Amino acid sequence: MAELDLLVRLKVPDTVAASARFALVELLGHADLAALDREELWRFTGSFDPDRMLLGLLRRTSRFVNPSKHAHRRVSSLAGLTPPREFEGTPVGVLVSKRDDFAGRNALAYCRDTLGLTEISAVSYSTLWTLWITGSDPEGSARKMADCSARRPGLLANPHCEVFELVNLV
Amino acid sequence: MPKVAVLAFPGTNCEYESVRACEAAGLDAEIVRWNEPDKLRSADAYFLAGGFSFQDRVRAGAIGAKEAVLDEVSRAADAGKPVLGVCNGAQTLLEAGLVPGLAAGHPLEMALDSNAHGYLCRWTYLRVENPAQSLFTTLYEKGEVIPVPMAHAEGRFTTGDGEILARVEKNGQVAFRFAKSDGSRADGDYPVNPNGALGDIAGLTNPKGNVLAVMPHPERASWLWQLPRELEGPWGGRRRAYNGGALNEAGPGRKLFLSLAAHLKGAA
Repeated sequence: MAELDLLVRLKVPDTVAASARFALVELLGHADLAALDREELWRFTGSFDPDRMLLGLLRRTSRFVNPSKHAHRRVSSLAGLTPPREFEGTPVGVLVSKRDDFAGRNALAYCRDTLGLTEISAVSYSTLWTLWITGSDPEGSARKMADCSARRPGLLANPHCEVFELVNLV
Repeated sequence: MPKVAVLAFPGTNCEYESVRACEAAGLDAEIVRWNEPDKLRSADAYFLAGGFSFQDRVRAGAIGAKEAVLDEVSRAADAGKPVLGVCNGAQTLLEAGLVPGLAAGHPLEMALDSNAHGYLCRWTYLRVENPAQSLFTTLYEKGEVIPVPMAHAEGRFTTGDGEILARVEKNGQVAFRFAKSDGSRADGDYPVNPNGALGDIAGLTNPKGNVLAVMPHPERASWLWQLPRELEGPWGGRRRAYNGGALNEAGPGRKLFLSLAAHLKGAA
């Protein structure tokens, strides 16, 4: 089985990321959050050549990467990933996935039924938040910002519909 | 006259029809903006209206739930004041931990997650489950079926803790369930259950019954003329027989607001 991991981010200002940062800093008091970025992670699994699959997906559809507004990068592993930009503080990745991944399932149906890419057997969708944290415990802070098991202090993952994991970035 | 504060966040878009639905039930309703928490204190009840607060960024209702105005709403709910959340308002109440509200301190106990089939705007049939449990449903009959429209992409009641669902059911906190037009169970089947909600739940109350989160829009079914002619069941028959003469003839959602009015006037 082959895997193709595609990280997609907006080239235009990301209002979702801006609102998340506003909520975390201004409403929830996480003053150690210096910056925040958001990327979508599409993971395609199946019996295919990843290089050719990537070229095919980029050529045949703008559903995953719309060149008018998206930048993308292919990654082999999330661990040790380079953040999308440099900023003050320590970057910590928070990968948020749905417990019921309808976006992934719908994308799989689209790939197979509309594009005819039957060699793809699974698609998953997650959000990778990159938090630049200036405090002394970046991972602890990131965990607090992610875990929305109560109204305060977390935001990024409601445990009743989402799971999150921290990702080491370099 | 009892006063209802209709809460509007940036992106709320149902505040005016929500005010009208309250007024049609004999309530005094006023739109209060999210950055005016001081104006909330004089209200007798709170109505978090539908829409797309903060453009549904991160998750629907997630950012609105963090705003200071929800501190005031939470205090009011704890004090027993009525709090209604419709659609985006329901999402905000769940993200604030006010519904289902089993544990003290308002931890998040459920979510309104993405629909199984994406955004849907359509009429649904709701079966009234436990009318005596909530002050918003006292004028309905148990088992009554009412057509109410839905319009949402994230309205699937779900929980990561199966025990929560069992307790909610045991407590009778399910106010409305998606059902067929004759009231028979949806059993999760699409499109009768349009979003895949656990237990076909469309509306959920807190244990005290003073906070109600409902995904379909009762304010859009408050007048008979709002109903489409092709509806099944008794309400469809009434709509087809309606000649447009009496513009204020009540629709199936009106009783929710009348129940609230009866409660508030009884408490006054």
